[in-house]
Amino acid sequence: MAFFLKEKVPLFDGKPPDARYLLDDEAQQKLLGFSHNSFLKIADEYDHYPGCKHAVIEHKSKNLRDSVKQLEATTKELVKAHKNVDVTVIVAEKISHTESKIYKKTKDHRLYDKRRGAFFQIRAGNHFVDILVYYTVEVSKMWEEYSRRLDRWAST
Amino acid sequence: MGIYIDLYTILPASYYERVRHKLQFCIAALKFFHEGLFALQDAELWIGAPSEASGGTLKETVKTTDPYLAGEILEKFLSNLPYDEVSQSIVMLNGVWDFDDVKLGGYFSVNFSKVWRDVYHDIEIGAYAKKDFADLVDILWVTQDMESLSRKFIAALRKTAINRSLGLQTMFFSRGVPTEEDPTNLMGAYLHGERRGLLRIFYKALSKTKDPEVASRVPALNDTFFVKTLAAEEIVNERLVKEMEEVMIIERKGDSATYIAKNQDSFANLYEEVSKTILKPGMGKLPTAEHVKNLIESGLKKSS
Repeated sequence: MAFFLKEKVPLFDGKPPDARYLLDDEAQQKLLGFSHNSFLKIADEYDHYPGCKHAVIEHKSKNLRDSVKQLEATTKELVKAHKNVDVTVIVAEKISHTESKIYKKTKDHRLYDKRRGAFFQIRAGNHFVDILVYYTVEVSKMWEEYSRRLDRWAST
Repeated sequence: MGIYIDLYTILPASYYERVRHKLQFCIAALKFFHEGLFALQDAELWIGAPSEASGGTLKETVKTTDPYLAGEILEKFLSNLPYDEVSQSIVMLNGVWDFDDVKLGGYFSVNFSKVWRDVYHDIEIGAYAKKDFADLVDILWVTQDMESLSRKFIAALRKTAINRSLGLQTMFFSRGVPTEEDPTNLMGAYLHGERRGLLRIFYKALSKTKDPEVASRVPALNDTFFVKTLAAEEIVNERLVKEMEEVMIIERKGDSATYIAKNQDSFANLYEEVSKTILKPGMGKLPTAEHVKNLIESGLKKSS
């Protein structure tokens, strides 16, 4: 439960997820139909957002190469278990100077590969999904704005 | 993320010979942890990038738990690939880190591709983040005697260099990818040039800050000259040793040294102290880049 309080996820269309699966928890993995031993290279969360958007999320990324591999492996497991994946997300403090030789975060938060001149994308069954990057400070701002909106709504 | 190793050429050798020796270094590193902490599950050879999402192509998968067998098969496979493919390849030796209560997926990777090597070094040893452990280094520092482990690990890799074309140049134990601008992520380092190596790391980080006193002088300063001059000063060594011994365990061997952090903030504290007591005072009386530029211009005007 502490995880819920500690790790904030990005909001989509100004809305937080209405269901969160913590993938470090084997019971929740079983619930999603993950195969045995799949916990070793797995992302942190699988969330459902209003508007039927499903996101795989990796928190506190300190190595983008690892995070991409974790999102890819998790998406593969979810697709195998007949679950939808619409977007994958990396939440990071920043992209370090060293990693910025390869990775770039675009204005619309997509992860761009400077090497290939293409966006990083993960195969989810018969389609590809984007990898979005949000800095923790951006996520915090989203939640502050959401909280202000709630306060305004409550006061009317 | 975890342990980053760079090698250097000792003896001239063909490209394929160096590829073979680099792979052997990685297998030696894996063997050191094998069966005690790390169990190999499979090995992969990628071309271009180490995942499909990054535009890579999986060229070969070797299903074996034996590091030597994996090494042999990969070696044979690499030796039959054209240069264009080998120079774009990445080897991933995947498996499980087992720290009793905590099991983490992990890998030993060899980056033959220059673009990946520039970021993730010649050999990267890592673990996939999970719960409270964001990094392999986190869990190593919690569960292992790092003074003893790092000493034995470095000795094992130095031994690997015997009769090979490559030697151990640097090794970083880092929370996340080591970056020039931020040495505070470091938890350990094996460096050549003893104190000079450490001063160079801190100087590079300081030179990238926006501190006007520093930023105004760095463009006109030769970093090798500056660091070498500082390292030769007895007062610098006295200050450095005093600061270092408080926060680190240091093991010297010949011209190289291993620095192991006593706690998570050791490198951050040392960087702050070294900046304050050595680097900034050493730089204080140097002319700014603007001043040097003016001197050049006035010299030119006088001669015309």
